[in-house]
Amino acid sequence: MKQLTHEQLLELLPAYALGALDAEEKAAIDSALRSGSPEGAELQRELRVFEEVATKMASANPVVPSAGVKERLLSRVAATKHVNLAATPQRSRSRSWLITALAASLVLAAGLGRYAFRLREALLQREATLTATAARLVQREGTLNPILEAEGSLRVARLSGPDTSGAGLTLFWNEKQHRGVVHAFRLRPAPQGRSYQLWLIKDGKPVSVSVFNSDPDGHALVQNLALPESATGTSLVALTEEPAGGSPGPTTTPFLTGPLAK
Amino acid sequence: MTASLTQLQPERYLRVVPTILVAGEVQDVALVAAVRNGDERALSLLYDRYAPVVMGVAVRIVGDVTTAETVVLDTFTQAWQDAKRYDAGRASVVSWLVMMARSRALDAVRASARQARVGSLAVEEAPDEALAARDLSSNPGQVVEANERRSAIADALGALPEPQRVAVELAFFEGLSQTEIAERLSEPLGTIKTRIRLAMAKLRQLLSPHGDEALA
Repeated sequence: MKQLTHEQLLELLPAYALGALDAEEKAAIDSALRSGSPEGAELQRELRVFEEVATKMASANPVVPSAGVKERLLSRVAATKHVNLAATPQRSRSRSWLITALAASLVLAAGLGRYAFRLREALLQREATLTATAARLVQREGTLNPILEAEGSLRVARLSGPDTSGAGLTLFWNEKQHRGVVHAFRLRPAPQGRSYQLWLIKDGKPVSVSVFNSDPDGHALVQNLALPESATGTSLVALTEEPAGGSPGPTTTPFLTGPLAK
Repeated sequence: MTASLTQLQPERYLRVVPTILVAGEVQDVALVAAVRNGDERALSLLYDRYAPVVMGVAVRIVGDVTTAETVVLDTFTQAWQDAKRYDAGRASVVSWLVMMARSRALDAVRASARQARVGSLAVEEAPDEALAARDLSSNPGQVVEANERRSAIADALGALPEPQRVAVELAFFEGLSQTEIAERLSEPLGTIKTRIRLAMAKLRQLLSPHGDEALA
């Protein structure tokens, strides 16, 4: 199997997401994804993004299938369940015993029907809550890991501005992983058709690192931010308001700025 | 600092799309969890939500409604059977379904030994039979949403240089590898690799509504 560097693997991800890699390159990616290493985790995150891109590209023209398709699906699923039930060990027992047990079950089910229904609804609700909590934990992990794993290579910029709104922004930069997290607070959502854009001022020149907007409550959290390999030469971080989608260069005066500290 | 900052052009720009599970995704994950537990109502909801997207992908690949509907049926049957294998960390639910549908649709095309098409159908050239007969007109909300999505995706694809768009579409909709695309178009393999990489980077930038938000 080909030995590829992490950067080479990252470059292959767009084609992997499209299913366009040749077998050898695909095997190299698959192996890295299974490695369980931080690099593998990064590949997985990037792959997820490119698969979302491919999905969106492919979703341009939704077409409603005829009603019969859903009917066939539900019939097929019901038949599968029926087969599964029929394949259980109880089938080997005597038919009369089965009928008796079934009758008893029906009586019990009738008596406990409403209770069972409520219990099932509660279980489903609990399952949904649990899943949502797990999803939030995954998201929170995505926020914390780049900070916790930075050890001695964490750079932080705290941005503030002259106005009295109290708006602020903190950039956490894991220099080792070239990743970062942005947390903004008390930042009013940008006006219609506008976004916020974060710039590193590197060797006196602005480098765009993120275009985002804040929630109605004034918060914004940008995870898994791709950042340059080195913070050398970056002295300042600045936030501007730009047209939605961002600008090639700043077109307005930065209203939040802050030095990059170690 | 301010005056000089606005006059300077950055040398390069970094693409950023973070991993954020948005509310719709959380609901999707909960639905798949219920499907895993054998809940047919959850499957029904999942179908209502994503069958049109899956069908659209299938129609685009196989080119006829009847085969596409078989792909849709098989995709959701597979979702029912394989829900326990779904991993929210690896793919969104819609991506999971679309990738399954793509695989099945390509299998169907290969099985029927259909001649692969050079180039691709543009968005507006999708099979008339499918789009005319099976639009979303019964649900005004879906119509508005679908029109906005169609427009945004058409804009994004339209922003790509033609050779890049063709390369990406040959890969996704015809299932060709980069080597096969290079042979098909009589172009160097390196050129095709570059086109695909640049096209996906551009789409990544354009299909994220605020640049950095999740692509769900």
